[in-house]
Amino acid sequence: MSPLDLPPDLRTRLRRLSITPRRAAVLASAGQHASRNRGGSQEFAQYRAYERGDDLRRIDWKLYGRSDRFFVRDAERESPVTLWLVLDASASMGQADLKTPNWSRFDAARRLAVALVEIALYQGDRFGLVVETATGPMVVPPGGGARQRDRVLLTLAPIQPGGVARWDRDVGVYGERFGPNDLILILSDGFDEACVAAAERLAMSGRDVAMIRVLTADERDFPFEQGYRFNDPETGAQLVGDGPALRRDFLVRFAQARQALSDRLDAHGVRHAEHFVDRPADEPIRALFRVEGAR
Amino acid sequence: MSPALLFPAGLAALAAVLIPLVIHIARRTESRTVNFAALAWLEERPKPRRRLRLDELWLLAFRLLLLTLIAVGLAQPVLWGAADRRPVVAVAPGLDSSSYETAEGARRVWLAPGFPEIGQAAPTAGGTTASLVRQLDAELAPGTPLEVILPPILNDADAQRPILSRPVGWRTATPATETELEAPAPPALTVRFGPDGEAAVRYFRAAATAWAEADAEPGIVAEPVAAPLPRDARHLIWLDASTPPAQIVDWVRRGGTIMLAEGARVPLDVAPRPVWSDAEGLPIAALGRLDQGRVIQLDRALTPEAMPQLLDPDFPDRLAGLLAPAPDPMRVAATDHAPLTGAAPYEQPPLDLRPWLALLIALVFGAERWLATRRVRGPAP
Repeated sequence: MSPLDLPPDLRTRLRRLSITPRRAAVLASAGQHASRNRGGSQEFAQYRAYERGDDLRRIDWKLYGRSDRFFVRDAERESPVTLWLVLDASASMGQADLKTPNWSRFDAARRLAVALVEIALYQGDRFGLVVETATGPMVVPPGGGARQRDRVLLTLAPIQPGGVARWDRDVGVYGERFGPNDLILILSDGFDEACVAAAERLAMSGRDVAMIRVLTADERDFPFEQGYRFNDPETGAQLVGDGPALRRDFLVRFAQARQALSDRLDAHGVRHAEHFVDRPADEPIRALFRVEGAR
Repeated sequence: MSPALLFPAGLAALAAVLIPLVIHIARRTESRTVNFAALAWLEERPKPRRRLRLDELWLLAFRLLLLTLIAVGLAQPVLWGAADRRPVVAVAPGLDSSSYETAEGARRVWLAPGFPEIGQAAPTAGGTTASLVRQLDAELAPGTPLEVILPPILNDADAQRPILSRPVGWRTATPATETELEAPAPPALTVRFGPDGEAAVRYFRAAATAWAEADAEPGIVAEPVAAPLPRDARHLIWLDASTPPAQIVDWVRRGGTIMLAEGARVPLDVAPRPVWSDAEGLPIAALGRLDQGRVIQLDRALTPEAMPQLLDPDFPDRLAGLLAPAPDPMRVAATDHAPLTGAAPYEQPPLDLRPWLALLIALVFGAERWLATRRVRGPAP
């Protein structure tokens, strides 16, 4: 099960989803948030008949010479929305469930990223990628089209999560690439304080920041039936304990921590959703970009 | 019926049940390492409750049972008093097994070595009747009724009536086939004489003539020493002072009977003992043994002067008695040979339970292997 190949049923459900920036005002000039607005860019889109009010300079005179009619060259208009996917590739993302040791948190995050790219692709939005690794960020500059998608997939495919990501150091490096109207979507487990701080910092600078917290099913269910040596892959801290004895307390504390994080993100205006690795990838996207009025 | 252990020290093997117990407990404390990024929200318990916990109780139970059974097997379990108490009817081979009626529920066996049940192939006769009856009496539990059915005439009787530990129903039945006994044939003589011994041949010819029927040829063949031995020779008279050649000694070893004239000697296995003495007690003939053969050594020259017994009227009978001795009297009417009671009863061996235990161990082992290797096993090792 490759995280970069989307299952057909998921692909079908993705067609009904859309990525919406929070601030609808930036789209006011274009009306509906449809990326295929005809505009005055370089890329040729189509011919259309001249209408009153069109700029005379845009009439194709050669075509007029052949057809004795006025045609205007329409050009592809660039979408006003750029989607930035920020993936956490620290060691904690490599954690997998007991039952599915081959499907790590990072695999789920990659599938989520591919699904978002897929939506952005047919919406016509531009999208870029930042992978936050221990050695520094890997950045794919934003672009649109199928070739951009392939670039993103090629970047994602070989990455192995590991080490400790330095969010505080790196957010300044790629943060300046984010435009003021770009939609920044962070895919992380949210356990790293620096990651949350980076999201808050971006949000405070006025950008549209969203976060999908990728959690494992073990963290939700804690199905450990015997004694284990629990190992934190990032700090190296270890704790030996009996699963059933730890379970109740952990579930309470972890739920509190999730709630605290949610409140914190809400307070900074960061949209957020939770995603469990054993759930389909369209659920957090739908939750995140729910129509505001439906809430 | 009472169970017992012949070797209770074998129960020391029960200490081995500690092994599966240790295996099933030790795995509990062994902890696997698992990556868990949400470690910050795990609270270390000061000490989990120190409760003995065991993995896979069914597997443990089967392993304990298996080791217990093996330990009991080492202790040699037996069951006293489990012997068969059904009445036994023993029928001598050769009798028609359906010609008499037996009590209901009786066990019917052939009076033959191994005592096979009637209904299997009838065994050939073997062993002596008295010996078999004694063995059967010893192998039966005290108080078990025993009935023996015999032909009217026993041909292999002992010198005394058997003494058993219980009263025995001693019945006779008509044998399926009557056997006619014939009088034994007189011995056929083969004589080999040297130059000095030819004169003595006539005494043996006279004896053979006396044995023979009125109008029959006497059974004697006299030839010089160099003549080869006929294939069917049984009794050889060696009338020469020389030692018989090696092939004749070999023939004796294979079961022949040879009478040696004075002076001729062969090496013997057992020192000869006198079997014929004259009125003054001086030995005339001595009998020695050579492997399976019999060697009769004459101590006198075969002349009437040296051995007047040659002319006695009972010389043929003497000679026949020396060469082919009559068998011991063993023929008796079965009713006259009924056993006596008075022997001490025999202690019966207990029933050995180990074969059944081995079967049980194999079954439990199979169940244990099935449990241990089945596909669906818990997350614990």
